[in-house]
Amino acid sequence: MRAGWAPYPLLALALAAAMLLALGVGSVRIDPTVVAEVVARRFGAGLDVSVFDDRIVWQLRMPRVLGAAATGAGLALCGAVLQSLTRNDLAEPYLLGISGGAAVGAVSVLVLGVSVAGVGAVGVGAGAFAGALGALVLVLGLAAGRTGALPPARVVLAGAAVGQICAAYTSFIVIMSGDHDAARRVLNWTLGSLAGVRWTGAVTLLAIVAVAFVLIMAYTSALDAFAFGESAAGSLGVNVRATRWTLLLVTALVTAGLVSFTGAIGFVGLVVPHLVRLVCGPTHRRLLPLSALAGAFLLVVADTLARSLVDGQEIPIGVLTAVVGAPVFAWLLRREGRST
Amino acid sequence: MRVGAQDVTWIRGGQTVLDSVTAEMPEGAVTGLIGPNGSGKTSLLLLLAGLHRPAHGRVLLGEREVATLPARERARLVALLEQQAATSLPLTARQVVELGRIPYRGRWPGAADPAASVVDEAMAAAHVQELAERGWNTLSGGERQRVQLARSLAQQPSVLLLDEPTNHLDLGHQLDLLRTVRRLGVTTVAALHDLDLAAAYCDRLVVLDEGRVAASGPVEEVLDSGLVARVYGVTAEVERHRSAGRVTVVWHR
Repeated sequence: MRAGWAPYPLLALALAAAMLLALGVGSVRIDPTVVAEVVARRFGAGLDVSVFDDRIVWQLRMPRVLGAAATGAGLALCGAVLQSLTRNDLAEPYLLGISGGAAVGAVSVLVLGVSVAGVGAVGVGAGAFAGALGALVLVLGLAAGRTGALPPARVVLAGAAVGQICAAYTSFIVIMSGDHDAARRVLNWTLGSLAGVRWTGAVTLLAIVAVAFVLIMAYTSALDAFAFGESAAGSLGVNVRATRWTLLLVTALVTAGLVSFTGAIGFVGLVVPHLVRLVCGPTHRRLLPLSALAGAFLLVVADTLARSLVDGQEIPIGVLTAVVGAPVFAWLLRREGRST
Repeated sequence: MRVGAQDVTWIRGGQTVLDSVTAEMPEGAVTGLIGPNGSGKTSLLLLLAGLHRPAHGRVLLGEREVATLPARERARLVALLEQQAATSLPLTARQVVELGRIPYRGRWPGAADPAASVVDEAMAAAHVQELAERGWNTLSGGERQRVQLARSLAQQPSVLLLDEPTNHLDLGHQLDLLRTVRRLGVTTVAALHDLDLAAAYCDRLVVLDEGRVAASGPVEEVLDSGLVARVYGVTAEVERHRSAGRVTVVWHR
Protein backbone atom coordinates (compact mmCIF):
# COMPACT_ATOMS: atom_id res chain seq x y z
CA MET A 1 0.00 0.00 0.00
CA ARG A 2 1.60 3.22 -1.13
CA ALA A 3 1.77 6.32 1.08
CA GLY A 4 -0.07 4.55 3.97
CA TRP A 5 -2.81 6.39 5.82
CA ALA A 6 -1.01 9.74 6.01
CA PRO A 7 -2.92 11.37 3.09
CA TYR A 8 -6.22 11.33 4.99
CA PRO A 9 -5.28 13.58 7.94
CA LEU A 10 -2.98 15.67 5.75
CA LEU A 11 -5.70 16.44 3.22
CA ALA A 12 -8.35 16.93 5.90
CA LEU A 13 -6.10 19.43 7.71
CA ALA A 14 -5.25 21.23 4.46
CA LEU A 15 -8.98 21.47 3.64
CA ALA A 16 -9.85 22.82 7.10
CA ALA A 17 -7.03 25.38 6.93
CA ALA A 18 -8.04 26.46 3.41
CA MET A 19 -11.67 26.90 4.52
CA LEU A 20 -10.66 28.94 7.57
CA LEU A 21 -8.47 31.14 5.42
CA ALA A 22 -11.16 31.45 2.74
CA LEU A 23 -13.66 32.75 5.32
CA GLY A 24 -11.34 35.61 6.19
CA VAL A 25 -10.30 36.61 2.68
CA GLY A 26 -12.31 38.98 0.51
CA SER A 27 -13.17 42.62 -0.01
CA VAL A 28 -13.25 42.86 3.79
CA ARG A 29 -10.35 41.04 5.49
CA ILE A 30 -11.23 39.32 8.71
CA ASP A 31 -8.65 37.94 11.11
CA PRO A 32 -8.57 34.08 11.30
CA THR A 33 -9.07 34.21 15.09
CA VAL A 34 -12.24 36.28 14.58
CA VAL A 35 -13.36 33.81 11.91
CA ALA A 36 -12.81 30.95 14.37
CA GLU A 37 -14.81 32.85 17.03
CA VAL A 38 -17.73 33.45 14.68
CA VAL A 39 -17.85 29.78 13.71
CA ALA A 40 -17.46 28.64 17.33
CA ARG A 41 -20.31 30.93 18.44
CA ARG A 42 -22.58 29.48 15.77
CA PHE A 43 -21.80 26.05 17.16
CA GLY A 44 -22.87 27.14 20.63
CA ALA A 45 -19.75 28.60 22.23
CA GLY A 46 -20.62 31.68 24.32
CA LEU A 47 -18.44 34.21 22.53
CA ASP A 48 -18.94 37.88 21.68
CA VAL A 49 -18.67 38.70 17.99
CA SER A 50 -19.88 41.72 16.04
CA VAL A 51 -23.02 41.42 13.92
CA PHE A 52 -20.97 42.67 10.98
CA ASP A 53 -18.36 39.91 11.29
CA ASP A 54 -21.07 37.30 11.74
CA ARG A 55 -22.91 38.49 8.67
CA ILE A 56 -19.82 38.43 6.45
CA VAL A 57 -18.33 35.18 7.71
CA TRP A 58 -21.42 33.12 8.42
CA GLN A 59 -24.10 34.51 6.11
CA LEU A 60 -22.09 35.40 3.04
CA ARG A 61 -18.82 33.48 2.92
CA MET A 62 -19.60 30.26 4.76
CA PRO A 63 -22.22 28.99 2.27
CA ARG A 64 -19.93 29.82 -0.62
CA VAL A 65 -16.95 28.04 0.96
CA LEU A 66 -19.04 24.98 1.86
CA GLY A 67 -20.54 25.01 -1.62
CA ALA A 68 -17.06 25.09 -3.14
CA ALA A 69 -15.93 22.17 -0.97
CA ALA A 70 -19.02 20.11 -1.83
CA THR A 71 -18.76 20.90 -5.54
CA GLY A 72 -15.05 20.05 -5.67
CA ALA A 73 -15.59 16.80 -3.79
CA GLY A 74 -18.51 15.85 -6.01
CA LEU A 75 -16.73 16.60 -9.28
CA ALA A 76 -13.58 14.71 -8.27
CA LEU A 77 -15.62 11.74 -7.05
CA CYS A 78 -17.66 11.55 -10.27
CA GLY A 79 -14.52 11.90 -12.38
CA ALA A 80 -12.81 9.06 -10.54
CA VAL A 81 -15.83 6.78 -10.94
CA LEU A 82 -16.30 7.56 -14.64
CA GLN A 83 -12.61 7.05 -15.45
CA SER A 84 -12.70 3.58 -13.89
CA LEU A 85 -16.08 2.65 -15.31
CA THR A 86 -15.23 3.60 -18.90
CA ARG A 87 -11.51 2.71 -18.57
CA ASN A 88 -10.87 6.05 -20.22
CA ASP A 89 -8.24 8.41 -18.78
CA LEU A 90 -9.97 11.40 -20.35
CA ALA A 91 -13.36 10.68 -18.79
CA GLU A 92 -14.70 13.52 -16.64
CA PRO A 93 -17.99 14.39 -14.95
CA TYR A 94 -19.39 16.15 -18.02
CA LEU A 95 -18.83 13.04 -20.15
CA LEU A 96 -22.52 12.33 -20.70
CA GLY A 97 -23.30 15.64 -22.37
CA ILE A 98 -24.11 17.18 -18.99
CA SER A 99 -22.27 20.48 -19.45
CA GLY A 100 -23.53 20.94 -23.01
CA GLY A 101 -27.10 20.15 -22.03
CA ALA A 102 -26.88 22.42 -19.00
CA ALA A 103 -25.56 25.23 -21.21
CA VAL A 104 -28.52 24.78 -23.56
CA GLY A 105 -30.88 25.10 -20.62
CA ALA A 106 -29.03 28.05 -19.13
CA VAL A 107 -28.81 29.91 -22.44
CA SER A 108 -32.48 29.32 -23.16
CA VAL A 109 -33.27 31.00 -19.86
CA LEU A 110 -30.62 33.76 -20.00
CA VAL A 111 -31.26 34.81 -23.58
CA LEU A 112 -34.75 33.66 -24.49
CA GLY A 113 -36.29 33.83 -21.00
CA VAL A 114 -38.13 30.51 -21.12
CA SER A 115 -41.18 30.21 -18.94
CA VAL A 116 -43.31 27.21 -18.18
CA ALA A 117 -47.12 27.39 -18.12
CA GLY A 118 -48.35 27.52 -14.54
CA VAL A 119 -44.85 27.95 -13.08
CA GLY A 120 -43.77 31.22 -14.59
CA ALA A 121 -40.24 32.26 -15.46
CA VAL A 122 -37.65 29.53 -15.01
CA GLY A 123 -34.45 30.21 -13.07
CA VAL A 124 -31.06 29.64 -14.68
CA GLY A 125 -30.35 26.77 -12.28
CA ALA A 126 -33.59 24.96 -13.07
CA GLY A 127 -33.05 25.51 -16.79
CA ALA A 128 -29.54 24.12 -16.58
CA PHE A 129 -30.69 21.09 -14.61
CA ALA A 130 -33.46 20.34 -17.11
CA GLY A 131 -31.04 20.75 -20.02
CA ALA A 132 -28.53 18.42 -18.41
CA LEU A 133 -31.17 15.74 -17.86
CA GLY A 134 -32.35 16.10 -21.45
CA ALA A 135 -28.83 15.60 -22.77
CA LEU A 136 -28.33 12.64 -20.43
CA VAL A 137 -31.45 10.89 -21.73
CA LEU A 138 -30.33 11.54 -25.31
CA VAL A 139 -26.81 10.16 -24.65
CA LEU A 140 -28.03 7.04 -22.89
CA GLY A 141 -30.63 6.47 -25.60
CA LEU A 142 -27.94 6.67 -28.27
CA ALA A 143 -25.43 4.54 -26.38
CA ALA A 144 -27.60 1.72 -25.04
CA GLY A 145 -27.76 -1.36 -27.21
CA ARG A 146 -30.98 -3.24 -27.96
CA THR A 147 -30.22 -5.68 -25.13
CA GLY A 148 -29.67 -2.88 -22.61
CA ALA A 149 -25.89 -3.18 -22.61
CA LEU A 150 -24.02 0.09 -22.21
CA PRO A 151 -20.63 -0.22 -23.92
CA PRO A 152 -18.36 2.55 -22.57
CA ALA A 153 -16.86 3.37 -25.97
CA ARG A 154 -20.36 4.15 -27.29
CA VAL A 155 -21.18 6.18 -24.20
CA VAL A 156 -18.12 8.36 -24.82
CA LEU A 157 -18.95 8.84 -28.51
CA ALA A 158 -22.64 9.54 -27.85
CA GLY A 159 -21.60 12.09 -25.21
CA ALA A 160 -19.32 13.81 -27.72
CA ALA A 161 -22.05 13.89 -30.39
CA VAL A 162 -24.70 15.34 -28.08
CA GLY A 163 -22.15 17.82 -26.72
CA GLN A 164 -21.49 19.09 -30.24
CA ILE A 165 -25.18 19.54 -30.97
CA CYS A 166 -25.65 21.43 -27.71
CA ALA A 167 -22.62 23.65 -28.41
CA ALA A 168 -23.99 24.47 -31.86
CA TYR A 169 -27.38 25.42 -30.40
CA THR A 170 -25.79 27.54 -27.66
CA SER A 171 -23.55 29.47 -30.07
CA PHE A 172 -26.40 29.98 -32.49
CA ILE A 173 -28.73 31.43 -29.88
CA VAL A 174 -26.06 33.71 -28.40
CA ILE A 175 -24.90 35.05 -31.77
CA MET A 176 -28.41 35.50 -33.19
CA SER A 177 -29.74 37.28 -30.11
CA GLY A 178 -27.45 40.25 -30.85
CA ASP A 179 -27.52 41.08 -27.14
CA HIS A 180 -23.93 41.70 -25.96
CA ASP A 181 -24.83 41.57 -22.33
CA ALA A 182 -26.45 38.17 -22.83
CA ALA A 183 -23.30 36.90 -24.54
CA ARG A 184 -21.20 38.00 -21.56
CA ARG A 185 -23.58 36.41 -19.05
CA VAL A 186 -23.57 33.14 -20.99
CA LEU A 187 -19.77 33.09 -21.16
CA ASN A 188 -19.61 33.77 -17.42
CA TRP A 189 -22.03 31.00 -16.72
CA THR A 190 -20.20 28.42 -18.85
CA LEU A 191 -16.94 29.14 -17.03
CA GLY A 192 -18.57 28.46 -13.70
CA SER A 193 -18.95 30.52 -10.54
CA LEU A 194 -19.85 29.95 -6.91
CA ALA A 195 -20.92 33.57 -6.41
CA GLY A 196 -24.60 32.68 -6.35
CA VAL A 197 -24.41 30.00 -3.65
CA ARG A 198 -26.38 30.90 -0.49
CA TRP A 199 -27.18 28.70 2.50
CA THR A 200 -29.99 26.73 0.80
CA GLY A 201 -27.68 26.07 -2.15
CA ALA A 202 -24.78 25.06 0.08
CA VAL A 203 -26.91 22.66 2.10
CA THR A 204 -28.37 21.16 -1.08
CA LEU A 205 -24.91 20.72 -2.59
CA LEU A 206 -23.59 19.10 0.60
CA ALA A 207 -26.58 16.77 0.75
CA ILE A 208 -26.23 15.73 -2.91
CA VAL A 209 -22.53 14.95 -2.50
CA ALA A 210 -22.96 13.17 0.85
CA VAL A 211 -25.67 10.86 -0.51
CA ALA A 212 -23.67 10.20 -3.68
CA PHE A 213 -20.54 9.44 -1.66
CA VAL A 214 -22.30 6.81 0.45
CA LEU A 215 -23.91 5.24 -2.64
CA ILE A 216 -20.66 5.17 -4.57
CA MET A 217 -18.60 3.77 -1.70
CA ALA A 218 -20.78 0.65 -1.91
CA TYR A 219 -19.18 0.04 -5.32
CA THR A 220 -15.48 0.24 -4.41
CA SER A 221 -14.87 -3.47 -4.97
CA ALA A 222 -16.90 -3.49 -8.16
CA LEU A 223 -14.88 -0.56 -9.52
CA ASP A 224 -11.62 -2.32 -8.60
CA ALA A 225 -12.84 -5.32 -10.56
CA PHE A 226 -13.10 -3.27 -13.77
CA ALA A 227 -9.29 -2.83 -13.85
CA PHE A 228 -8.93 -5.58 -16.46
CA GLY A 229 -12.13 -4.94 -18.37
CA GLU A 230 -15.69 -6.15 -18.32
CA SER A 231 -15.17 -9.90 -18.72
CA ALA A 232 -12.71 -9.80 -15.85
CA ALA A 233 -15.17 -7.81 -13.75
CA GLY A 234 -17.94 -10.26 -14.63
CA SER A 235 -15.83 -13.26 -13.70
CA LEU A 236 -15.11 -11.60 -10.32
CA GLY A 237 -18.82 -11.61 -9.57
CA VAL A 238 -19.69 -8.06 -10.62
CA ASN A 239 -23.01 -7.54 -12.37
CA VAL A 240 -21.47 -5.46 -15.14
CA ARG A 241 -24.64 -4.08 -16.69
CA ALA A 242 -26.37 -3.11 -13.45
CA THR A 243 -23.19 -1.54 -12.07
CA ARG A 244 -22.68 0.54 -15.22
CA TRP A 245 -26.24 1.82 -15.33
CA THR A 246 -26.32 2.62 -11.62
CA LEU A 247 -23.01 4.45 -11.50
CA LEU A 248 -23.52 6.32 -14.77
CA LEU A 249 -26.92 7.53 -13.59
CA VAL A 250 -25.71 8.47 -10.10
CA THR A 251 -22.69 10.41 -11.37
CA ALA A 252 -24.75 12.10 -14.10
CA LEU A 253 -27.47 13.20 -11.67
CA VAL A 254 -24.89 14.49 -9.19
CA THR A 255 -23.10 16.42 -11.94
CA ALA A 256 -26.38 17.84 -13.24
CA GLY A 257 -27.18 18.96 -9.69
CA LEU A 258 -23.80 20.62 -9.24
CA VAL A 259 -23.94 22.27 -12.65
CA SER A 260 -27.32 23.83 -11.91
CA PHE A 261 -25.79 25.71 -8.95
CA THR A 262 -22.30 26.55 -10.19
CA GLY A 263 -22.16 26.16 -13.97
CA ALA A 264 -19.61 23.86 -15.55
CA ILE A 265 -16.31 23.96 -13.67
CA GLY A 266 -13.70 22.11 -15.67
CA PHE A 267 -10.46 20.38 -14.78
CA VAL A 268 -11.26 19.27 -11.19
CA GLY A 269 -13.09 16.09 -12.16
CA LEU A 270 -10.56 15.23 -14.86
CA VAL A 271 -7.31 15.85 -13.02
CA VAL A 272 -7.84 15.30 -9.31
CA PRO A 273 -8.43 11.52 -9.62
CA HIS A 274 -5.23 11.20 -11.67
CA LEU A 275 -3.27 13.17 -9.07
CA VAL A 276 -4.56 10.96 -6.28
CA ARG A 277 -3.86 7.79 -8.28
CA LEU A 278 -0.29 8.88 -8.94
CA VAL A 279 0.37 9.50 -5.25
CA CYS A 280 -1.79 6.89 -3.51
CA GLY A 281 -2.41 4.12 -6.06
CA PRO A 282 -5.57 3.11 -7.91
CA THR A 283 -7.42 1.06 -5.26
CA HIS A 284 -10.88 2.60 -4.98
CA ARG A 285 -11.43 2.36 -1.24
CA ARG A 286 -8.61 4.92 -1.01
CA LEU A 287 -8.98 6.66 -4.35
CA LEU A 288 -12.60 7.75 -3.86
CA PRO A 289 -12.41 9.38 -0.40
CA LEU A 290 -9.02 10.94 -1.13
CA SER A 291 -10.25 12.31 -4.47
CA ALA A 292 -13.24 13.87 -2.71
CA LEU A 293 -10.98 15.54 -0.12
CA ALA A 294 -8.47 16.73 -2.72
CA GLY A 295 -11.22 18.04 -5.01
CA ALA A 296 -12.80 19.94 -2.12
CA PHE A 297 -9.43 21.46 -1.21
CA LEU A 298 -8.63 22.47 -4.79
CA LEU A 299 -11.99 24.14 -5.35
CA VAL A 300 -11.97 26.04 -2.03
CA VAL A 301 -8.52 27.41 -2.90
CA ALA A 302 -9.53 28.21 -6.49
CA ASP A 303 -12.73 29.96 -5.43
CA THR A 304 -10.90 32.02 -2.83
CA LEU A 305 -8.41 33.15 -5.44
CA ALA A 306 -11.25 33.78 -7.91
CA ARG A 307 -12.89 36.34 -5.65
CA SER A 308 -9.78 37.92 -4.14
CA LEU A 309 -7.05 38.14 -6.79
CA VAL A 310 -8.51 41.10 -8.66
CA ASP A 311 -10.20 43.87 -6.69
CA GLY A 312 -13.83 44.37 -7.52
CA GLN A 313 -14.01 41.62 -10.12
CA GLU A 314 -14.28 37.86 -10.09
CA ILE A 315 -12.03 35.70 -12.19
CA PRO A 316 -13.96 32.73 -13.65
CA ILE A 317 -13.20 29.76 -11.40
CA GLY A 318 -12.71 27.38 -14.32
CA VAL A 319 -9.72 29.46 -15.38
CA LEU A 320 -8.21 29.16 -11.91
CA THR A 321 -8.75 25.42 -11.46
CA ALA A 322 -6.76 24.96 -14.65
CA VAL A 323 -4.04 27.40 -13.57
CA VAL A 324 -3.69 25.78 -10.13
CA GLY A 325 -4.12 22.18 -11.23
CA ALA A 326 -2.26 21.94 -14.52
CA PRO A 327 1.29 22.67 -13.29
CA VAL A 328 0.93 20.24 -10.38
CA PHE A 329 -0.39 17.64 -12.76
CA ALA A 330 2.43 18.19 -15.24
CA TRP A 331 5.01 17.90 -12.48
CA LEU A 332 3.55 14.62 -11.17
CA LEU A 333 3.29 13.22 -14.68
CA ARG A 334 6.97 13.94 -15.31
CA ARG A 335 7.93 12.37 -12.00
CA GLU A 336 5.94 9.24 -12.78
CA GLY A 337 7.41 9.16 -16.28
CA ARG A 338 10.93 9.00 -14.87
CA SER A 339 10.19 6.11 -12.50
CA THR A 340 8.81 3.75 -15.15
CA MET B 1 -17.08 -29.97 -9.67
CA ARG B 2 -18.01 -31.22 -13.12
CA VAL B 3 -18.77 -28.85 -15.96
CA GLY B 4 -21.07 -29.67 -18.82
CA ALA B 5 -22.28 -27.98 -21.98
CA GLN B 6 -25.54 -29.40 -23.29
CA ASP B 7 -26.47 -28.62 -26.87
CA VAL B 8 -25.13 -25.07 -26.53
CA THR B 9 -25.63 -22.64 -29.41
CA TRP B 10 -24.39 -19.06 -29.23
CA ILE B 11 -24.97 -16.38 -31.83
CA ARG B 12 -22.89 -13.23 -31.61
CA GLY B 13 -23.44 -10.30 -33.95
CA GLY B 14 -25.46 -12.49 -36.32
CA GLN B 15 -22.64 -15.06 -36.48
CA THR B 16 -23.12 -18.55 -35.06
CA VAL B 17 -19.95 -18.97 -33.01
CA LEU B 18 -21.01 -22.17 -31.24
CA ASP B 19 -23.33 -24.66 -32.85
CA SER B 20 -25.00 -27.36 -30.70
CA VAL B 21 -21.91 -27.96 -28.58
CA THR B 22 -22.21 -30.80 -26.10
CA ALA B 23 -19.19 -31.56 -23.96
CA GLU B 24 -18.54 -33.10 -20.57
CA MET B 25 -15.63 -32.00 -18.39
CA PRO B 26 -15.43 -34.39 -15.45
CA GLU B 27 -14.66 -33.42 -11.87
CA GLY B 28 -10.95 -33.09 -11.07
CA ALA B 29 -9.86 -33.67 -14.66
CA VAL B 30 -7.87 -31.34 -16.88
CA THR B 31 -9.75 -30.98 -20.15
CA GLY B 32 -7.97 -29.45 -23.12
CA LEU B 33 -9.94 -27.34 -25.57
CA ILE B 34 -8.22 -27.49 -28.94
CA GLY B 35 -9.03 -26.34 -32.44
CA PRO B 36 -7.89 -23.81 -35.02
CA ASN B 37 -8.16 -20.03 -34.60
CA GLY B 38 -11.78 -18.93 -34.61
CA SER B 39 -13.11 -22.39 -33.84
CA GLY B 40 -14.95 -21.13 -30.74
CA LYS B 41 -12.57 -22.00 -27.88
CA THR B 42 -12.72 -18.58 -26.18
CA SER B 43 -16.47 -18.34 -26.80
CA LEU B 44 -17.05 -21.68 -25.10
CA LEU B 45 -14.92 -20.60 -22.11
CA LEU B 46 -16.93 -17.36 -21.77
CA LEU B 47 -20.16 -19.37 -21.69
CA LEU B 48 -18.72 -21.88 -19.20
CA ALA B 49 -17.75 -18.88 -17.04
CA GLY B 50 -21.38 -17.73 -17.12
CA LEU B 51 -20.46 -14.35 -18.62
CA HIS B 52 -22.95 -14.71 -21.46
CA ARG B 53 -26.14 -16.66 -21.96
CA PRO B 54 -26.28 -19.11 -24.84
CA ALA B 55 -29.09 -18.65 -27.36
CA HIS B 56 -29.95 -22.28 -26.86
CA GLY B 57 -28.86 -25.10 -24.57
CA ARG B 58 -27.51 -25.14 -21.01
CA VAL B 59 -24.19 -24.88 -19.21
CA LEU B 60 -24.09 -26.91 -15.99
CA LEU B 61 -21.80 -26.45 -13.00
CA GLY B 62 -22.26 -29.59 -10.97
CA GLU B 63 -26.03 -30.02 -11.10
CA ARG B 64 -26.86 -26.31 -11.39
CA GLU B 65 -27.27 -24.17 -14.45
CA VAL B 66 -24.59 -21.47 -14.45
CA ALA B 67 -26.97 -18.81 -15.81
CA THR B 68 -29.14 -19.10 -12.68
CA LEU B 69 -26.29 -18.61 -10.19
CA PRO B 70 -25.93 -15.23 -8.47
CA ALA B 71 -22.83 -13.45 -9.81
CA ARG B 72 -20.88 -13.51 -6.54
CA GLU B 73 -21.56 -17.17 -5.91
CA ARG B 74 -20.53 -17.98 -9.49
CA ALA B 75 -17.28 -16.05 -9.00
CA ARG B 76 -16.45 -18.18 -5.96
CA LEU B 77 -16.90 -21.34 -8.03
CA VAL B 78 -15.38 -20.43 -11.39
CA ALA B 79 -12.21 -18.45 -12.14
CA LEU B 80 -11.26 -17.35 -15.64
CA LEU B 81 -7.74 -16.64 -16.86
CA GLU B 82 -8.20 -14.48 -19.94
CA GLN B 83 -5.91 -14.06 -22.89
CA GLN B 84 -3.85 -10.87 -22.70
CA ALA B 85 -5.24 -9.20 -19.62
CA ALA B 86 -4.46 -5.49 -19.88
CA THR B 87 -4.83 -2.42 -17.70
CA SER B 88 -3.44 1.10 -17.70
CA LEU B 89 -3.81 1.43 -13.93
CA PRO B 90 -0.64 1.54 -11.80
CA LEU B 91 -1.50 -1.63 -9.84
CA THR B 92 1.13 -3.73 -8.09
CA ALA B 93 1.26 -7.48 -8.74
CA ARG B 94 -0.07 -8.11 -5.25
CA GLN B 95 -3.01 -5.75 -5.80
CA VAL B 96 -3.84 -7.68 -8.99
CA VAL B 97 -3.85 -10.96 -7.05
CA GLU B 98 -6.02 -9.35 -4.36
CA LEU B 99 -8.69 -8.71 -7.03
CA GLY B 100 -9.34 -12.44 -6.75
CA ARG B 101 -10.73 -11.88 -3.25
CA ILE B 102 -13.48 -9.51 -4.46
CA PRO B 103 -16.13 -12.28 -4.56
CA TYR B 104 -15.46 -12.85 -0.84
CA ARG B 105 -15.32 -9.19 0.23
CA GLY B 106 -18.23 -7.40 1.85
CA ARG B 107 -19.99 -4.69 -0.09
CA TRP B 108 -18.65 -1.89 2.13
CA PRO B 109 -14.94 -1.18 2.43
CA GLY B 110 -13.22 -1.68 5.74
CA ALA B 111 -14.16 -5.21 6.73
CA ALA B 112 -10.94 -7.19 6.41
CA ASP B 113 -10.95 -10.37 4.34
CA PRO B 114 -10.83 -13.20 6.91
CA ALA B 115 -8.74 -15.29 4.50
CA ALA B 116 -6.03 -12.77 3.55
CA SER B 117 -3.44 -15.56 3.70
CA VAL B 118 -5.13 -17.05 0.62
CA VAL B 119 -3.46 -14.28 -1.41
CA ASP B 120 -0.02 -15.34 -0.15
CA GLU B 121 -0.74 -18.99 -0.85
CA ALA B 122 -1.99 -18.22 -4.34
CA MET B 123 1.12 -16.18 -5.08
CA ALA B 124 3.32 -18.98 -3.79
CA ALA B 125 1.51 -21.56 -5.91
CA ALA B 126 2.01 -19.45 -9.05
CA HIS B 127 5.62 -18.61 -8.10
CA VAL B 128 5.10 -14.85 -8.10
CA GLN B 129 5.89 -13.91 -4.47
CA GLU B 130 9.05 -12.07 -5.50
CA LEU B 131 6.99 -9.91 -7.90
CA ALA B 132 4.55 -8.74 -5.19
CA GLU B 133 5.55 -5.07 -5.09
CA ARG B 134 6.37 -4.75 -8.80
CA GLY B 135 4.08 -2.60 -10.90
CA TRP B 136 1.86 -4.48 -13.36
CA ASN B 137 3.14 -2.42 -16.30
CA THR B 138 6.76 -3.35 -15.49
CA LEU B 139 6.08 -7.10 -15.73
CA SER B 140 6.93 -9.24 -18.75
CA GLY B 141 4.19 -11.09 -20.62
CA GLY B 142 5.04 -14.32 -18.85
CA GLU B 143 5.12 -12.69 -15.43
CA ARG B 144 1.73 -11.12 -16.09
CA GLN B 145 0.31 -14.49 -17.03
CA ARG B 146 1.56 -16.03 -13.77
CA VAL B 147 0.23 -13.09 -11.72
CA GLN B 148 -3.18 -13.56 -13.37
CA LEU B 149 -3.00 -17.27 -12.55
CA ALA B 150 -2.34 -16.34 -8.91
CA ARG B 151 -5.37 -14.01 -9.08
CA SER B 152 -7.48 -16.91 -10.38
CA LEU B 153 -6.23 -19.15 -7.58
CA ALA B 154 -7.03 -16.46 -4.99
CA GLN B 155 -10.68 -16.95 -6.01
CA GLN B 156 -10.36 -20.50 -4.57
CA PRO B 157 -12.34 -21.83 -7.51
CA SER B 158 -13.82 -25.27 -7.96
CA VAL B 159 -13.47 -24.81 -11.70
CA LEU B 160 -10.54 -23.13 -13.42
CA LEU B 161 -10.98 -21.87 -16.99
CA LEU B 162 -7.76 -21.01 -18.82
CA ASP B 163 -7.67 -19.25 -22.20
CA GLU B 164 -4.29 -19.89 -23.82
CA PRO B 165 -2.53 -19.92 -20.43
CA THR B 166 0.86 -20.70 -21.96
CA ASN B 167 0.90 -17.73 -24.33
CA HIS B 168 3.96 -15.54 -23.73
CA LEU B 169 5.60 -18.20 -21.56
CA ASP B 170 8.96 -19.78 -22.34
CA LEU B 171 9.03 -23.57 -22.49
CA GLY B 172 10.13 -23.96 -18.85
CA HIS B 173 7.37 -21.71 -17.56
CA GLN B 174 4.80 -23.37 -19.84
CA LEU B 175 5.57 -26.72 -18.27
CA ASP B 176 5.68 -25.19 -14.76
CA LEU B 177 2.31 -23.54 -15.18
CA LEU B 178 0.57 -26.63 -16.50
CA ARG B 179 2.21 -28.78 -13.82
CA THR B 180 1.03 -26.33 -11.15
CA VAL B 181 -2.49 -26.46 -12.52
CA ARG B 182 -2.44 -30.27 -12.62
CA ARG B 183 -1.28 -30.50 -9.02
CA LEU B 184 -4.19 -28.35 -7.81
CA GLY B 185 -6.59 -31.15 -8.62
CA VAL B 186 -9.22 -28.55 -9.56
CA THR B 187 -11.53 -29.24 -12.48
CA THR B 188 -9.79 -27.38 -15.29
CA VAL B 189 -10.71 -26.46 -18.84
CA ALA B 190 -7.81 -25.02 -20.84
CA ALA B 191 -7.84 -23.71 -24.38
CA LEU B 192 -4.48 -24.68 -25.84
CA HIS B 193 -2.77 -24.22 -29.18
CA ASP B 194 0.14 -26.58 -28.66
CA LEU B 195 -1.10 -30.13 -29.32
CA ASP B 196 1.98 -31.63 -27.70
CA LEU B 197 1.37 -29.74 -24.46
CA ALA B 198 -2.30 -30.64 -24.60
CA ALA B 199 -1.41 -34.30 -25.04
CA ALA B 200 1.06 -34.18 -22.17
CA TYR B 201 -1.00 -32.38 -19.54
CA CYS B 202 -4.65 -33.04 -20.31
CA ASP B 203 -6.73 -36.04 -19.34
CA ARG B 204 -9.31 -35.36 -21.98
CA LEU B 205 -9.71 -33.23 -25.08
CA VAL B 206 -12.61 -31.41 -26.65
CA VAL B 207 -11.82 -30.57 -30.27
CA LEU B 208 -13.71 -27.63 -31.77
CA ASP B 209 -13.94 -26.87 -35.47
CA GLU B 210 -16.01 -23.97 -36.80
CA GLY B 211 -18.09 -23.85 -33.64
CA ARG B 212 -18.89 -27.57 -33.61
CA VAL B 213 -17.41 -30.42 -31.58
CA ALA B 214 -15.23 -32.44 -33.96
CA ALA B 215 -14.26 -34.99 -31.33
CA SER B 216 -14.09 -35.40 -27.57
CA GLY B 217 -12.88 -37.96 -25.06
CA PRO B 218 -9.66 -39.22 -23.46
CA VAL B 219 -6.51 -37.87 -25.15
CA GLU B 220 -5.36 -41.21 -26.56
CA GLU B 221 -8.73 -41.93 -28.12
CA VAL B 222 -9.19 -38.49 -29.65
CA LEU B 223 -5.81 -37.42 -30.89
CA ASP B 224 -4.65 -39.13 -34.06
CA SER B 225 -3.21 -38.12 -37.40
CA GLY B 226 -6.65 -38.28 -39.02
CA LEU B 227 -8.01 -35.66 -36.62
CA VAL B 228 -5.05 -33.33 -37.08
CA ALA B 229 -5.40 -33.59 -40.86
CA ARG B 230 -9.17 -33.06 -40.75
CA VAL B 231 -9.28 -30.15 -38.30
CA TYR B 232 -5.99 -28.34 -38.88
CA GLY B 233 -5.24 -29.43 -42.45
CA VAL B 234 -1.78 -30.54 -41.37
CA THR B 235 -0.05 -33.86 -41.95
CA ALA B 236 1.26 -35.22 -38.65
CA GLU B 237 2.37 -38.38 -36.96
CA VAL B 238 0.69 -38.96 -33.64
CA GLU B 239 2.19 -41.75 -31.59
CA ARG B 240 3.12 -42.81 -28.11
CA HIS B 241 6.69 -41.73 -27.52
CA ARG B 242 8.76 -44.58 -26.04
CA SER B 243 10.93 -42.66 -23.56
CA ALA B 244 8.47 -39.83 -22.76
CA GLY B 245 5.65 -42.32 -22.19
CA ARG B 246 3.02 -40.03 -23.66
CA VAL B 247 1.36 -39.19 -26.94
CA THR B 248 3.43 -36.84 -29.09
CA VAL B 249 2.59 -34.97 -32.26
CA VAL B 250 5.19 -34.56 -34.96
CA TRP B 251 4.01 -32.48 -37.90
CA HIS B 252 5.41 -32.53 -41.41
CA ARG B 253 3.99 -29.98 -43.81
